[in-house]
Amino acid sequence: MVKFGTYLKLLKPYKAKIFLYAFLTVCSCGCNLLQPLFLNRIVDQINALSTGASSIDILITCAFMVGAAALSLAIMLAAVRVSVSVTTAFTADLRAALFDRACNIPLSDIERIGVTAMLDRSTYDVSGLMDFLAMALNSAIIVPIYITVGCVMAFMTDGYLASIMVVCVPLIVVMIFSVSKIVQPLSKRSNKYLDMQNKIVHERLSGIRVIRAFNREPYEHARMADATNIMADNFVKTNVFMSVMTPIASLVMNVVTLLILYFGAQRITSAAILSTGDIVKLLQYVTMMMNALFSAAFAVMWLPRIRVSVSRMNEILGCPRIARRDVGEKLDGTVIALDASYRYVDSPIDALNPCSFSVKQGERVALIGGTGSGKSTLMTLFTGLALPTGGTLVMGGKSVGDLTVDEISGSVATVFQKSDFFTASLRDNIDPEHKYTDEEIYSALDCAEFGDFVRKVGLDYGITQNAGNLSGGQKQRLALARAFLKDASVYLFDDSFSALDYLTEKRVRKNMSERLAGKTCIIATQRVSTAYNCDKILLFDGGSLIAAGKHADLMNNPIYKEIYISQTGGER
Amino acid sequence: MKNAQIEKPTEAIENEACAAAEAEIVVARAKKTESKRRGKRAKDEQPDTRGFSSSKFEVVELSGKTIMKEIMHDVKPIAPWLALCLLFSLVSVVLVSLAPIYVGNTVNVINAFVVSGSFDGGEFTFNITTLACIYVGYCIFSILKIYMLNNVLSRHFNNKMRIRMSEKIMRLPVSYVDRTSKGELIERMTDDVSVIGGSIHQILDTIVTGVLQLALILVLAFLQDWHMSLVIVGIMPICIAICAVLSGRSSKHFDRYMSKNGELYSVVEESYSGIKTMRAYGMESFMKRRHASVNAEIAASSRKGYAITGSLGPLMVFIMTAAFALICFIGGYVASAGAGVTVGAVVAVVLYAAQLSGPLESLANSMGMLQRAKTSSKRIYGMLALPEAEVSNKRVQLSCDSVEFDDVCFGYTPDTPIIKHLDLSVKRGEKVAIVGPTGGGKTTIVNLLMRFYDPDGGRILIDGVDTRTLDRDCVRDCFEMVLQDTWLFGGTIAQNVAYGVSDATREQIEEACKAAYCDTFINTLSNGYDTEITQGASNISQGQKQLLTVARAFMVDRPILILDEATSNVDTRTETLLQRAMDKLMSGRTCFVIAHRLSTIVNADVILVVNEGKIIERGTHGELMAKRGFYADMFNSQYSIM
Repeated sequence: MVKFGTYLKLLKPYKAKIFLYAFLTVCSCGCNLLQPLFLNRIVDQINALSTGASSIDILITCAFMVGAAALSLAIMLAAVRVSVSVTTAFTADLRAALFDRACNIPLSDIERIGVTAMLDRSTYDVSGLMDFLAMALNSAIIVPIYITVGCVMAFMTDGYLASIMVVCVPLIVVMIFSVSKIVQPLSKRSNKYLDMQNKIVHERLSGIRVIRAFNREPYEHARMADATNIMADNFVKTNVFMSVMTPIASLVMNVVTLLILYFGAQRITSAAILSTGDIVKLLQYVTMMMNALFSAAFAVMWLPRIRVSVSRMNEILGCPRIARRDVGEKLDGTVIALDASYRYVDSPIDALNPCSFSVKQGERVALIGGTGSGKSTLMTLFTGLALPTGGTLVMGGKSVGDLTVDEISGSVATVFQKSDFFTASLRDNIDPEHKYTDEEIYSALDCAEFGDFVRKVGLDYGITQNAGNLSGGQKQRLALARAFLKDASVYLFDDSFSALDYLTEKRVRKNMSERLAGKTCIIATQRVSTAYNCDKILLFDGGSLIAAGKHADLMNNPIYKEIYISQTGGER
Repeated sequence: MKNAQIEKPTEAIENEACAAAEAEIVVARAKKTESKRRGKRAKDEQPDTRGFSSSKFEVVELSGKTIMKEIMHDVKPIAPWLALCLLFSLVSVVLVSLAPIYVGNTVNVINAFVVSGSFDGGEFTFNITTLACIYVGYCIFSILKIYMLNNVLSRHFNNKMRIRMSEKIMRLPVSYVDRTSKGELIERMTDDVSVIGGSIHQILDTIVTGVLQLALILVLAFLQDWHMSLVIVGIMPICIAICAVLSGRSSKHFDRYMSKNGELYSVVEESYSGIKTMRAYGMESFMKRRHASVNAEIAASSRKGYAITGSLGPLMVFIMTAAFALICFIGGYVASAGAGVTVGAVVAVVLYAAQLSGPLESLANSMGMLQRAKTSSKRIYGMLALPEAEVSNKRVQLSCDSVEFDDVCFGYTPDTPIIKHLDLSVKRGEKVAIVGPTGGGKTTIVNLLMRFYDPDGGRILIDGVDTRTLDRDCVRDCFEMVLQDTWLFGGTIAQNVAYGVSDATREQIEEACKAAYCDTFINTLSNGYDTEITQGASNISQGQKQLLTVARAFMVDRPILILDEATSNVDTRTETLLQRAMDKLMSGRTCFVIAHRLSTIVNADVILVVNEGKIIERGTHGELMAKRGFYADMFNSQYSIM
């Protein structure tokens, strides 16, 4: 079920322009539809010349022809401008609407749809819609006009000949639909094969070391050659079918012409009510109509693709918006979990089983456990980006369900496992709204042991895409600085020191202990060394909280002991 | 303007088909740009390639002449087929050009009846039948040409070119692949190849036949009546000029449109993949502002561009109509002056004028295509001319009893040396642990051992033989790798584990998996060993993936093992399994272990502490701790207070 409601709403502001376009196009069509009449006259006038008429009459008719054509041109040029401005503006609005909605839907929806899919919908699907809109706008107006006027004029000229034409039209329509039915699945498959080949090449390039280490280059090359051959076969089929439409359409038009000439001659020789000019005129109207039909055909061929695009975009537009409220007062640094649990959408089991614990203001807490143990899930719950699916999580005395993301993020500073940066200056990356002074920024950078680097390159240093011009360690330090800059009550560190070497980590942690004194710090880690001196350690395994306490207490837990021994070799 | 309109819609339809095909290319390009982004991202996860610009696509700069020679060489095998296609094209063009003559004749017959009452039935039937044959013939030859041209180009040209590029990749050094954006490479293989194939199509189909058609039109119109044909001579340059001017003026807008589109793409991509950060740090308004400004520029440039190209149609219609009017007038005037111009002649010349717009517009469009072809061919042939990795064919039976680094110096770029005068000697069965801060040169040592890169100075010796003089595969046969980057491909588990052994039996695979402790979890999967590993391998955890790579190493059974930080991203349960599996793997083999975790290397025979490319300390764990140097400091810093 495809909903067009949102799109119509977006078109609303352009209602006036669309009507203007329609009006202009109608006028232009009107001018064009006069041309056959002029030609009719000319043909008759040329015949009349042999009986002594003057050539001035022809000149006058020609002048009218040119005049009407010039008028049509002027009108159409204006109409084109109007239509182009509508389609491009509509498309821009749609892009903005999609982006706005996409940035404000729950995280679970984003993960469900997937970043790549969302990207496609925000870019490729939108431009497809724009092309279609231009075609559709044009056809929607021209086709009915040409068909009705054409039919009327044809029947007025000669009913018998006109009825031949009427028979042909449905045949043409059927032909168009059958070809488009064949072509659609073929072009879908082309894209699939293209993707497949690209995937293979991509795999081959990213795994080049492994491939060469095992001497499998020839095998990989053979795989690619196979994929390329299959792709070529498919391309040939698709392209041939699509291009074949043209000569077949030509043939149809030409056959109709022949029929009209043939039957026209019959009519003239038998009933003699027609002149040559009439036949010429009729042929012109017929070909105008078929022109219109064929261009409508192309719009129709796009329709299935557009339907798919629209339903894809609706996936985003149909998601609910998350609540947004301005940040009120700051929350304090207490965190209490009461049987809090989390289950991902479409998952049969909890990623985090019900757990209960409490964290006091200013405590240093470590969450220890491996991948899949549930600690990262819990960290996400602390950030407020996702809500527990079971139980309650209370931060600063309020349940997270009653708070908006903004309210939570106002008091919580997070350093994610994978830090994201944006193609912008260093300053914009950590202080996008320019709320802080340079001094404050440098103080945070120094705390993260990144100040020296930034002093060398300057705060306006441009970060390239995916922070490609920073090393892993530099990225992490910048992310840490970003968190330190914020004046929060709770600081979350999700495996945030893994790219730093031990010495740097040691220095950063020393700086942190001074800067963040009195603030709650929650660190998710796999290293026992990081957890060693925390006020509280929460041990996770298999999605459950299995133990809590200080290091000495946890050494009685076999799992913790095992981790400890494997990481330190049993030595201190 | 009867049949006049028949040619115009043909051209309109062709334009539509072109538009549809162009849309396909835009789609493909969007997907290509997507994979370019994917490529850039994946590139970031590669070891030791940071600091290199990811958007460069290096090629050798070739002169236009060399490129033309190469293209000619590649076209030669299909030349006979192309000639046949050209023949079909020409036949269609000739047929189409003859049609107006017979239409004119038919009209004259009809007109003669209207004027004088005599109907020449024989002449009429003859013309109508000839027309029918011409139209059917035109359709048949067009279809034949379409089929053949597509077949020849897609299967025998585009295809061959892509395969050639794939072969070239096999021979390019790892350093090139590291430096180059994967997305760009992929785009070259798909997009650029299509463009070159498409341009050959264009040249044959449009340019050659278009020029011929125009010439035929001129001649035949002239034969009908030279007075009226002057109009045709007059409007040709006008139409060409209009097409050229419009495309020239619109191209700068479209260039801007494409580049802004790319920018918007990256803004959106960054926002979506960084949504967590965006939300947690309230960066939405910042990103929204950026999006809005790029969006506005896209709207403006596309509006300007399309407004210009959109005026082409109406302008051509006007010119054609004016031409028809002029032709009719001249025809009428000449007829009134008694020069024997028939109605049929007027109709015929009008038809010829109408036939002009098709080839003219296609010719104008093909200029753009040729321009793109120039760029694409530069990129493709430039890539095919790249220097290849040095090859040596010397193969020696190596027993791998010793590995030596002799004063080795190396840097990825000449001005950033990473390894400075490294000396190291390892005997069979010894376990070497290499530790040190990031960027210190640890993974570089692996790159050199495996001959993914060659040292700038010094030598690496296996059994006393300089590896540089040996065939690369011979050297690599000594090693098995378990890397941090697991690289599993879309195939079954069994296929992935048996990757290094082409004729592995299921029993061997299962044995290797049992040894690597992954047999249990594999059997819990729905299809067991035949479970497909999905792209990105999301149905198996990171730790399980690494167990599979260990199993893969068990399968190949080579004397020297390289472990590169393999255990640092694994959960504790799996880590214990991995440790045990690796202990098994390591026994009896010479091992080079690179890790952050000091606990994994505590049992090494020799520990090398590498910092800034130099080995600054070496010894066993006990010896190094007693020294109280860099190593001891690093080890102790694990326990500092937060």
